[in-house]
Amino acid sequence: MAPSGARSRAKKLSHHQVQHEMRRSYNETENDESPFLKLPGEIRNEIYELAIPRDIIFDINDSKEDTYIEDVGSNIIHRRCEIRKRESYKRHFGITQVCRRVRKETLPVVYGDNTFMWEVGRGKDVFYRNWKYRGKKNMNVIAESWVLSRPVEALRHMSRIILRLRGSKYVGIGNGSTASFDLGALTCKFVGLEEFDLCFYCAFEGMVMSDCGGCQENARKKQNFEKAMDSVRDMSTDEPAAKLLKLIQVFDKTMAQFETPSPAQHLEMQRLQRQLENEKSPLLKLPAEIRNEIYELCVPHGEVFNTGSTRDIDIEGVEEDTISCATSIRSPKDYKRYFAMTQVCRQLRKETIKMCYRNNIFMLRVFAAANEPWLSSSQRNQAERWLKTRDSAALPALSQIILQLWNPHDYFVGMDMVLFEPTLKTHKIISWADIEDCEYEWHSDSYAPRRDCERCYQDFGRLRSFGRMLEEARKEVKEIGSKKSPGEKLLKLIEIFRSDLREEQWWWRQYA
Amino acid sequence: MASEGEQTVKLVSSDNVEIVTERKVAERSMLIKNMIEDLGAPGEEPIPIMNVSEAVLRKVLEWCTHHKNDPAPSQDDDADSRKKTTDIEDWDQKFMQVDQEMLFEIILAANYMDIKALLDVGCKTVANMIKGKSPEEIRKTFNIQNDFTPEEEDQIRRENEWAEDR
Repeated sequence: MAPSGARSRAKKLSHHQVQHEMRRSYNETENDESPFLKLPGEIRNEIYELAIPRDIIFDINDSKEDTYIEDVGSNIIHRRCEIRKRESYKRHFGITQVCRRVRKETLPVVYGDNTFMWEVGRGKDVFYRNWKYRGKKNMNVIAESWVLSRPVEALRHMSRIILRLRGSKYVGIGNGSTASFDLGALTCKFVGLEEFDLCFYCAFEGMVMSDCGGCQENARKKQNFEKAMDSVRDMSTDEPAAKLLKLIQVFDKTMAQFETPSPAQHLEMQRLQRQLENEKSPLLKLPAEIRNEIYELCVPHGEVFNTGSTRDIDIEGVEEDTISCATSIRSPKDYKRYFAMTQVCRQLRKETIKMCYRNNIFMLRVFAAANEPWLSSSQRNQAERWLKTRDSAALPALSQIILQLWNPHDYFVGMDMVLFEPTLKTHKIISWADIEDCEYEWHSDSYAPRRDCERCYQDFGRLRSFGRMLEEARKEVKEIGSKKSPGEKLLKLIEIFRSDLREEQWWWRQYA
Repeated sequence: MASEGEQTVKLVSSDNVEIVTERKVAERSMLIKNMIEDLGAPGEEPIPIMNVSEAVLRKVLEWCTHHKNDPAPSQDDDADSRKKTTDIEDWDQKFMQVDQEMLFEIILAANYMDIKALLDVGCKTVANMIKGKSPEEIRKTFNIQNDFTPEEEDQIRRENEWAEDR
């Protein structure tokens, strides 16, 4: 609207442009004959009031997701509002493009009575930068080019803008928030930033816990927004475009300050939310003593779990007072069914895992011939592997453990078992096959060793050496000291037995 | 004291509904029994049961009515109950066939009103809902979400390995 500028430009116009200008000025005078423009100004204004849409929020970014008034915050827009997508712009703004006079008269109404909204803060989002906007047309570019392409008088009349504060993909906080600016008074209302009040880490709402990183992070973010607002208020320029651009820039920067949580942190946040949700479970809401009573009822008691074989083994041969409650030795496949409680959620696991290991007995197989080629690698070290893969709370809770000493060359008498307390203070030999029955000579009905039978003789010798071996193993483990964990002690014990058994194997081979 | 059986007491639920019941029935609850002893004059003063709503209180009293003649458990019985059986009488089983919300309300009410036998039945019912189920099924039953960290998940996977690949 600067006439002097127009004149100086007019000097340099080409012939073609002069022709165009002449046609334009002719058209302009012709327009005066239009019945609409002949109407008195106040009547035209009344028509504009009725014809021009107002209280509409135009979504400049036209983001893929639909925006609803609730997202923008109905409390910041007092009158009835609706949000329109970008494509509706031409239809609603058609009147500003009719002719010079109408444009001049309608621009203040169109820009003054409607609200424009765009997104800030996605510039740093790799996902959006690379894929959606191909690196060039990111959100800030869209906002910038929109502002710069507005006529100056339009920007002067703009009264309110809304910035949707979008964090990058993983910023859960702030994604639904908006900042609504009154450009005249330079005030701002935030909507949705109350999300900052709930800390995902300590789940305290509306408080800043001095020792919680999450709370402090939230407080910092809040402060950042206040600072951004201050810097906009302090702005000296009156140029509306510069003001707007600065506003966008400042908020874009503020959003960029949000540390984008890594995918792992994002997952952890989701997990914490699930953990909080679990407090609503009817089972976990029960008082602790009732929960304990329920656990007592459904956690298995006195079962013997065989960690080495899938078969259920009948333990009738085992003296009853040794393993009192069990009627059979459970195979590994039962483990998951019986111990499901420890795998449901964190709280249940914490509350039941000790009980599961304390109330039951586990049977580990120790192979004498660890280097035998016919043993698969998983068989060779199965006891060690089992011990090493237990939860840190499980092994200290064990009350009894059975070592099954397996001598593959000596099948019948080689399946001796020793019942241990993990403190290793006591042990008890449970002999699988009745040593008094001599399978070698098939005179098992005698129940007494026969002096003339080499095997009987050998069995007794073996039993004696076995007892001695146990004593020595215990002594050796005791020397490791009480500082070691039960797991380490048991591992040592297995190691000792394994080497002893190998020697013993040699010992009996000379008779075979 | 011969008429003690016919004596009635007035109970008031948390939502202020008065329920009149036999004294013998109400005295299955140790809370009410102690209150009656403290108050002295049963039947006149209504007894407030603060934490229990009308629907739950009626359900609890239904159980008490059925079990009003049960012998009081002796010390030996209590020790025996450590045998950890989850067998439930037929009548009690039918009684406990209610939606989960009600079931937990009954457990909480039994705990509050100090009715040991009813609490036991409730606990056994819940234990039976857990027994023999996979972790996933337990989660579904009690509206629990898997909140293990990836490391914990890994630990559980390793812990289960010996029970699987054979």
